[in-house]
Amino acid sequence: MRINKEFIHYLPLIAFTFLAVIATGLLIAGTVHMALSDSSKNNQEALYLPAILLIAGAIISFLHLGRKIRAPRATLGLLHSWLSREIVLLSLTIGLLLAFITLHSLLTPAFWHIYVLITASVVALCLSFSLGIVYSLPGQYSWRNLHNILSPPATSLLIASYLLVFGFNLFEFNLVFYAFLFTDLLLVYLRSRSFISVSENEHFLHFRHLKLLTMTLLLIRFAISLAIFALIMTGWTEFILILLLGNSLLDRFTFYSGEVQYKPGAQIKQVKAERMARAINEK
Amino acid sequence: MQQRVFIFDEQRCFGCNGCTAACAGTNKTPAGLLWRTVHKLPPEQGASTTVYLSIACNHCEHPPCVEACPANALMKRKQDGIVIHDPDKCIGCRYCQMACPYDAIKWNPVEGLVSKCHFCYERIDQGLEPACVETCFGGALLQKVIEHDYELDHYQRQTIGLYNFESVSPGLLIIRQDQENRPPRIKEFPPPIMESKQKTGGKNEN
Repeated sequence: MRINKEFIHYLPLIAFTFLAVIATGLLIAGTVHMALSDSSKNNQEALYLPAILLIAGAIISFLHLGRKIRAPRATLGLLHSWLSREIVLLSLTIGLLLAFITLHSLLTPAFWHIYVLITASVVALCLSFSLGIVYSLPGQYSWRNLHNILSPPATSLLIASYLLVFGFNLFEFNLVFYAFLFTDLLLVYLRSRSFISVSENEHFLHFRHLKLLTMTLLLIRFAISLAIFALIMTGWTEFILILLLGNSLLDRFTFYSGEVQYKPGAQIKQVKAERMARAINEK
Repeated sequence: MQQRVFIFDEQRCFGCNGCTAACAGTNKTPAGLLWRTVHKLPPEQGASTTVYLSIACNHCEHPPCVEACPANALMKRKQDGIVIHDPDKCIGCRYCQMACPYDAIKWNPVEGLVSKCHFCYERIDQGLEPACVETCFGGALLQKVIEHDYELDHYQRQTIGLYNFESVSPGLLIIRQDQENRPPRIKEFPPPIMESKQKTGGKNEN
């Protein structure tokens, strides 16, 4: 197993989507906490972290462009390109979040400030969805399915529910968290099943040398999700957040390294392998 | 419907890669960056003919790259449907590369941009053939403008190495190696290799 040189191009995208998913979860948790608890200036400090993560993610994704100076052009395709929409959603989320932090810091906290934050959370959740939809492209065999589209928002909601139930102790029952954890387990299972069944000769893995690594990481991801469930059942909830964050990073890594495309070279390679196998068997 | 398409005759191509070389030379693509590729498929056991597939950008009817591009750097010409990439607008995000099902879009790491076959549209506008079509002396690679659906008769849209994603409709028409019902010849060429082997006496229209 070795890292394919081409895969390095995907590392900024892995970092950006990881940070965006975590930030969305933190933002949703912070919003619900602020909306349901007594308003206080101190509460907004919990929102600094998602703002920093989103800005860091934006900077990292900006760095992967070939022509960075032309980055603002990426918003021109709003009518037809999901990538443009993702960038606009990211900008709106950052803008609304910073607007709330500024308003809450400079002015006397007012009842309407929370609506800015709620709007930011909704836009952030839309951003999370767009992180999945943007890769639902023709010819992308492994990305073009519902479990990949739902994976980023499911992870965000899982993190948010963990913080609300075990972090802020806002809710007493764990059912919400269990529901999102089960959803996460199901999505990982569906992704693993479709990816593991792909043979090297059947379809073209974009990063062939990463296939075994990706399969291993998917299994580790599944095992970690089961471990989280076991930890909650036994009452050991302190380390779950670290496992959730690690799982989220693994999720993004396995998503990008598991790219499968049905390209001309791949199809011909598949047929070549079949003919060779037939010729060998007939001898 | 007015769509300029490539026509590839599997019975005529013998894999000389002249089309690849002509494309690279005419468009001055950097070393190692080829817009057109010739794939080789060895014959089935017992068969005698290797099949080749010369493929570049298919200038699809519904190009996913144009839809995907966030910077509007890819556009489809209205008069003939050629998909052109504008390097002055490209931001180098490579999203179009992920979107293209045919591996037509190539990354240039030196420029930090993508590039692809543009049907030699400048030559087309002067009434010339694209470099690859002009170079193909076997008559395997042709081009024409399709204006009516009936003109698609006798052509295949799918072969080994070319999957027809119906939501995309690639502008590459194939005359398959095993196809008996051949379309009328667009251009005069020497007879195909199969016919010359048979050494028939009379005229052979196809």
